[in-house]
Amino acid sequence: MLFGIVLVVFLVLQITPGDPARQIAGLRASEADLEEVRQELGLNDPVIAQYGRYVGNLLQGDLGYSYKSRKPVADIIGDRISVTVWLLTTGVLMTLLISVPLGVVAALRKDRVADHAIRGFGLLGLSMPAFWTGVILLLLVALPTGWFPAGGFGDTFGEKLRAIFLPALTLAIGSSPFIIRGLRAAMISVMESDYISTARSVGVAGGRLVRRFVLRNAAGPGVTLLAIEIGYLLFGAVVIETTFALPGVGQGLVIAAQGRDLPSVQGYTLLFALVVVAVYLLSDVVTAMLDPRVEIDT
Amino acid sequence: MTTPAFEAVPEAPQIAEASLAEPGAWKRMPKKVWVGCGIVLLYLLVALLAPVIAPYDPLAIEPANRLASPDMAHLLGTDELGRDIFSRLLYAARVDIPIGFLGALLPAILGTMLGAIAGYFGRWVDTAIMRTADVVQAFPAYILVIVLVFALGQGAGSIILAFTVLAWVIYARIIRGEVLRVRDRDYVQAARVAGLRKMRILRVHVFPNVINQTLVYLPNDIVFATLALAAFSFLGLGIPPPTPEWGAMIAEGQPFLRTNWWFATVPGLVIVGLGLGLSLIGEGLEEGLRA
Amino acid sequence: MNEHLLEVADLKITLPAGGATITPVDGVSLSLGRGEALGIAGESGSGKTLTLKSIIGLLPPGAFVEGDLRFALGDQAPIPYAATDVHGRGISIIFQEPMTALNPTMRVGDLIAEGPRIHEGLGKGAARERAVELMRRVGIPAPERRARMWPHQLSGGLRQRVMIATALSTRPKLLLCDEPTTALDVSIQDQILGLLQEIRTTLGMSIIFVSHDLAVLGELCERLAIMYAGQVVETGPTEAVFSSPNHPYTEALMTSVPSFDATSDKLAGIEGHPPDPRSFPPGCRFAPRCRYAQDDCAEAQFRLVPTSAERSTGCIHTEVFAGRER
Repeated sequence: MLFGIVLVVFLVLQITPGDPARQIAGLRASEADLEEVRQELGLNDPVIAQYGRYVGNLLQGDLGYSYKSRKPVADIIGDRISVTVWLLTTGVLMTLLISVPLGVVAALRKDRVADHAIRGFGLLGLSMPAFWTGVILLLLVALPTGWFPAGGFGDTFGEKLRAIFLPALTLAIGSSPFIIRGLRAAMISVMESDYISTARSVGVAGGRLVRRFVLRNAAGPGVTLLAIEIGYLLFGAVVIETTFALPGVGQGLVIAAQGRDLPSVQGYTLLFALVVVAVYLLSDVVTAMLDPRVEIDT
Repeated sequence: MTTPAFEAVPEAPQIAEASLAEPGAWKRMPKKVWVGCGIVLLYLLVALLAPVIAPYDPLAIEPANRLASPDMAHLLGTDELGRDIFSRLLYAARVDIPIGFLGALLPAILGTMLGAIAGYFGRWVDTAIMRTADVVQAFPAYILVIVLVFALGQGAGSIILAFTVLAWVIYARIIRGEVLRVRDRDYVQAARVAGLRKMRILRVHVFPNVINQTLVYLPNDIVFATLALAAFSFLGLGIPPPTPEWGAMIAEGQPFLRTNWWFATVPGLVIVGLGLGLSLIGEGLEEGLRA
Repeated sequence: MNEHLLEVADLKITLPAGGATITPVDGVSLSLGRGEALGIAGESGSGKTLTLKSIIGLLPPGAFVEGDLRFALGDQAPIPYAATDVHGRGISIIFQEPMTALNPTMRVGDLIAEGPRIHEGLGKGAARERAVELMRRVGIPAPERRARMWPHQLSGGLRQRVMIATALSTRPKLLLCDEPTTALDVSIQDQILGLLQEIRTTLGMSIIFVSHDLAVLGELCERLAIMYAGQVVETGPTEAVFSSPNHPYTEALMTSVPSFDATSDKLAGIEGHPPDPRSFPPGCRFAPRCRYAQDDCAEAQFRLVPTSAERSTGCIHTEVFAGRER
């Protein structure tokens, strides 16, 4: 699967218009200079050979050099990745913090006022562009209170936490409606099952019923849903890092794309694809741990 | 029997049992469908009549009057180049709405056709189409849109093409499942006995039955497409300036949040309104067709 | 000590069904003595399972219950009760499908231990011991080892035994059985029936056993109630009902016993289908399928009329059975 992704990314970027050599050497470079750059980069070789070399380098952790900064793409990604990891982990935690209680309440109060209110806010949340939510939070929270920086990342743990709070909240607001909706549906179907009747018949009720019987069985679908969300979360990271001027890989991709820096775009894309594949694998493992009926076969 | 519960993804496509073709089907639709239709119609009207309603040329620069506050002359003030924000908002509807609709409609059409073909003909046709779908789905879709737009160059065409290449998969899966379900029902069997050609069977008997499925998903996909377009433009990777576009306007307004807060916030409200209208239609259709 | 344990009077259950409401249980009255076993027989859709679930308060959301339900939690006469009064405190239930009735993400020992932990405040260890003890009681071999297993690792018969152990864990006075043997192999069915019979006599429990299988009910129950289309159409001591049915539907049920298809739950001996609960026929609801039906059957108001001290019937033409003692 991974090799398929590498191939597709490589091929898509082959059709990119523009001469990489011209980009590197500059507008005033002579034809001879350009030829020299092309030789250096192996751009005159057949596409197959270029692809072979690219994959070979990849396996050694070499993602090529940025056209802009001339630095190794792997190093650029390395510098930026911690910000994005911060954003995604905090964002996912906040998503769970928001969506698990709301999903549970909506399911337990199905078709009552609370359920309708939660679903209404869900519709609103689905319709809000993440970057706009970020702008609103900046306007309504960051500017009046002054507690949170309007952009950038920090050095100490406390500063980082402060800088990441609003972006992570933005991410959570965007992704929670899906999770709430899915969790609600999963819980409702669990609550209709016979084993919930069994539990109630021996007197299991209230929080104990929800925790030990309902949530335990709805957790599997919940994790699967969260894994499916990873595509959205990554794109959310791209948009939100740009909104809050966070120097992460998402912002890096945007800067690279704006600057038509092909090796960097290639590197970032592969990174994101890798994350998605890894998250899917991880979710399989976690759901297997949550459901005794599933054996992990590898 | 021992199928793990999570194999049925909770938001698995609900089978729409009722058909819109049935008499009275529209009457049974919940009220929210009509509210949603009203909102969307209003947006369409604005897009259509923008040149008539808009007080200014959306591209007309007025450097002497930049970043003006709202007053009677400029209802929402002016931007960094002195362009009338209200007029730009109206004209942006002519960009966002068509791209959002096309960006959802084309993949729906493509996916519906491929899904129907895969489901009906089966064998290698099915295998080929569904394998392709697997590969496409393995990618983080939005990231790939960035790459595709990077490769194809900015602009409306690239964005719509990128959406189409990526978003057909869900439709193909749903429709394929539906076709498989409908295919073996009596009346399709009867039609086959009557010697109808396969394509005609598809068109007359299977298509009307599966079209509901597409309809339920379409409004939500228009929301996604519109939001995505706005996001790409916000990132500077979508519709290039100076064409007015809601997402790009939010980006233009963000640096002036402290002084001209309406600049960045109002275009967002406009997007939310359209999204809400479409979501209401989608949710209402789903409820109405399931009942 | 009052002799009655449970009294159900004029029970009516309404359910929402696609905009309209249906009344799948319509005016059911039952009573049950201490230590007695009552069998409720009927086809699927007769309302027998809903009646059972209303007794323990496990109806689907949206269901509306009218009528009078009384249960004796102590030695006094039965009194009106709420579902939470009897959950884990007097009434237990066993379901038809041992596949779906056990929490798939809980070890069976822990499931059986839930009741004792909640109601007797037992600690984890003590509750686990109780669970093993109960598992041994219901004839599960190697209970210590099996207590740590997941439901999906057990056979259908063992799962049903776990279900029974769970039901017994709260020391109920009344055990409700919703076709607990239907989903099992024939040989396992007999074992489970034997177990229920043995438990009942040694623990002195009352049982209400719901089934479409008259043979099963005959083995276990002293008294029968036959249900059709949401109503009890005949009641009486099992032997009396078997030897001389007082309702044409009972008779039809009995003649169809040998050819009864347990999987399709359909009566081979009777023409037609049970009526749709959205439009029950007027008068006697069985009349359209009844081979003795006369014109006035569709007009007379349905009523369960006593024919002797212990028996009643809803049929207004019992004369057709006169002198047909078997």
